[in-house]
Amino acid sequence: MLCALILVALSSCSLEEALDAMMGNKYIEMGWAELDTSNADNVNKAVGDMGADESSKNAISDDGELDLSQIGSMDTVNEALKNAGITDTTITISDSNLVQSIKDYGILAAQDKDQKQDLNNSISQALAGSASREAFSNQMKESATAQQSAAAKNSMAVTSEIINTVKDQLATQENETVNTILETLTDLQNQLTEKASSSETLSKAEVLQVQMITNMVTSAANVAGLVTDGGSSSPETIIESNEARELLNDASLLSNTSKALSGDVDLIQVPGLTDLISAFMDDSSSGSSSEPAARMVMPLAVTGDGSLQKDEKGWYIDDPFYAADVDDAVEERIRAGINFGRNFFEDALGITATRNGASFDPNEVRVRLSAFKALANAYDVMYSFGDLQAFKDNETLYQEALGDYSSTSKALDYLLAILLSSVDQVLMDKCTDYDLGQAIADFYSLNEWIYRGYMNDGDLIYIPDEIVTAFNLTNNQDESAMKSLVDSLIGPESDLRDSFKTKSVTLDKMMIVGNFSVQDILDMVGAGDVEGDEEITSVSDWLENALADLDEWLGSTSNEEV
Amino acid sequence: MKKVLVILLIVLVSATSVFAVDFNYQDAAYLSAMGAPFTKTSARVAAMGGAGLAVFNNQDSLYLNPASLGGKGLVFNLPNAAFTLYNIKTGYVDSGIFDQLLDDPGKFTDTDFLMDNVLGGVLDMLGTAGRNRIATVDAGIGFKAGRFALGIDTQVNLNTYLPVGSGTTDIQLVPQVDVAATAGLGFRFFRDNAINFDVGVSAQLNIRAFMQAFDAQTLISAFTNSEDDSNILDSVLGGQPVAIGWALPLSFGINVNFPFGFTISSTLSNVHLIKGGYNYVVQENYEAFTDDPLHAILSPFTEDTQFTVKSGMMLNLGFGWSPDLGGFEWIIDPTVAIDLVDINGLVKDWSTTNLLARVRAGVELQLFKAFELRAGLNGGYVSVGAGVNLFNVIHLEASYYWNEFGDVLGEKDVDALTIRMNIGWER
Repeated sequence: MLCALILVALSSCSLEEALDAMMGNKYIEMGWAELDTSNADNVNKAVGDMGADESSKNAISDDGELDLSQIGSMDTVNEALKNAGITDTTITISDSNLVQSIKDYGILAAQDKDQKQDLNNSISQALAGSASREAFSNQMKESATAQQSAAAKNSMAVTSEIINTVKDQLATQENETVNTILETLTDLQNQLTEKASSSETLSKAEVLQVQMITNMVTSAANVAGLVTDGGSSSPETIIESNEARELLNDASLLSNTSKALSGDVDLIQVPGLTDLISAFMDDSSSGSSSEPAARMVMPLAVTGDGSLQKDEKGWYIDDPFYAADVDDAVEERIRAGINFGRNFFEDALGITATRNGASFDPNEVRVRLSAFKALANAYDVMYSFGDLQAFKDNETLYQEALGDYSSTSKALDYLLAILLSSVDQVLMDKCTDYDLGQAIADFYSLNEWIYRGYMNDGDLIYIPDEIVTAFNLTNNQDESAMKSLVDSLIGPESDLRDSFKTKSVTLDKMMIVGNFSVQDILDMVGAGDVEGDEEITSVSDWLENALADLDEWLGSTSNEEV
Repeated sequence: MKKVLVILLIVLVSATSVFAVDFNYQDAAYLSAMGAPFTKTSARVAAMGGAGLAVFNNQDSLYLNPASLGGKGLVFNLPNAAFTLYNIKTGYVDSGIFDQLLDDPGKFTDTDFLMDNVLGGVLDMLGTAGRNRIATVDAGIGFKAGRFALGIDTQVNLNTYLPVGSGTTDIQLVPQVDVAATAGLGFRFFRDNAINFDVGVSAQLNIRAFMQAFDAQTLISAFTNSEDDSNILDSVLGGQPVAIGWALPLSFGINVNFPFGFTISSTLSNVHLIKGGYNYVVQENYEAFTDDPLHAILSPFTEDTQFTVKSGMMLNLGFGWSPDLGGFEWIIDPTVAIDLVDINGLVKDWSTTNLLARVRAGVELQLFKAFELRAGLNGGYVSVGAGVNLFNVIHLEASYYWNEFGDVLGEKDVDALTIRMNIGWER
């Protein structure tokens, strides 16, 4: 440091500049040495070698019937289905375009056990070092070949149909554990269906994801086969089986891979988190403890005084902080939220606010969102072996199986994945051809002050037109319109509510296995003890209460059990 | 901020001289700590890019190259101490903490500021995957009389490890304590000839202890759940087994000294003749050390070894040049050092990158026998340093340098600042 100070004195550069100059490996910077990324290169090669099974092109009839047993590489899948008691291995593809695509490009060749093991080993090695992990993520962002992409999309559709077959034929077995596992496949299925129908060329990451999900579905069918074979169906017996361990391995590898592909975001390290939490935990806030959080925050955060105005630039929130008589605490919440959001989206999706709007790579945003969804789904599968009571009764057993996936940081990873997946899903449901990445970029472009990092008096919050239209926000000066919007998003009949309930139970299971509490998570993110608030001991119970409050506000009550 | 308390607890843990490592010693992250050779921190060597095998150094020759003990000298180190802080750039400068401290020096004594900003910032910075280190503290005494040298050293390392793909809450605390007694002997042959050579040997008894690793979450939970702060250490450490091990590595060195101040050296270091490495036994918990310290410390020698962690020997080559300036050395005395280390590892896995990773080079300029300026390149990482030697009695040195903490070159660079003080006598 002394020398650095001397350097600073002699060169008149700042200490930061002096240290910057010394940082980094000079041999690598000069090109004399290379960073060893051979493990990532192995996975890249394996993904590059993934191709279509030629026999699949002839296995589908003109009316869309595809007999899996006629596809050479589907032995493992067929065997799993037969073990599960499914003798008819014909699936039906209803989309005629897809039928033609399968005839033209086929589906990806399924992997046998050895190939799967080789791929898994390569991925594990690539993920084990931070340099190879970064190289792996970068390589997987590259586009797959057109042929590979088409075959992978066809595989997604086929795998989705296989999941349908498995669910249809096995869901009647009245085995809670098997049914829970099958339910978790639904989210995976949605992800596959969504990708299969997209027009974009897939990335290598998505091709790899298809392969891993197909492997996971095969493993899930094998687990289901345990019950069909007349074996013991208790969750304890199932989770100790080799088939379950195989499925757990597949799911954990998918979660690890997805974590890397999603950019290895560490929520705790996102700048502005502490300020955001402080703003929301401030006791001087205007909301009463009995007031539903959504009612207290949403209208103010979204609409200021409850109305949107339009000028030549677009729709904006009319005088968000002043005319609405918003108190300082709420204003601080909004500002902290925007500041955190800017940092968060940069870390999580690679979207950077710039002087002119936003800088981002749409392909990278897509890969990362896809990885977040797969991460959440992978955790759902891992925690699907038994209900909450089974986890409480067999804590040690589940700790042995899931111990590596039950820390507070894993819970934060899972929460982050749920958050982004849900927002993206809502946006996709409401808007056509308008994704989260574009929405954020448009928001940045319309609101130059985001780049500046703070709002001056007179700054407005503009909302992208697509959002205003899709969510019908021009009517939200009417409270009933706002209720209608909230109801459609997370009302008693919404898919999002069901999804949150399921995932809250997964979080509870995670806390049992990891032996930590919600308070521990709050401690880690810097929220600490919140005076006056009761400690949250169960996320699912807390969610149930919050939803009941929300329903009360919406004018309806829900007694649904979580 | 609970994360601040984590750091505080780390410091408390260190103060009790207990250490942590996961006993799943097959795990590469821990294995590297458990079997790593003991290396006394040398501000001079660090500033010179890690080079110095072929450079005469009264203080460090015992540890670097025992052949250099062949040059006569009388040295007393009573004591020498070094403090090294890591992640300077990210944790202290880029975060603005350094500027704040310069603007208001009073903050150096502001506990709240130090707790909230400095320590909290460090924990955030440690949340990047792989190995890292918070600090190293060295303290030792030693002497050299003629051709014989003896040193007794202790070193505390606050290591951390974060599995790849994990988050901040998974930071594993892996403190480590070493106690080493090193003795060496060197001889010079053909002293009066233009070309002469030295040979030397040293032996080191190294006792090393670890406590089973625990993560940040464990500390936070302990703090949260403890009503009495004095019980926190007990609640965190009480159930943790402690591994204590020993090793007896030998080092051999040879120098060939040429006219004009050129020297070529070779050392064979870290030679473990007994079981090939560190031999560990496990105590149930740290109370074994408080209840009967002598028995616990001697346990690796009196009880059956429970596991051994291998530690490989290294063949090293060094080049040094300290030109003879005809009596003007008291004004300016330059030194150049270039080392190639772990040649046997290079032969096993030859590549240009692996070769460059093992090259260490440095220069030193001594002015008026009192001021020292140093710079170097260690496997491609820059290092700089300076020192003040007051009448050969008080020697203060500082060095700032970057190190590779990853498994491969360029994977993870961590910078460090070392301050070393030596009080004694050197002639």
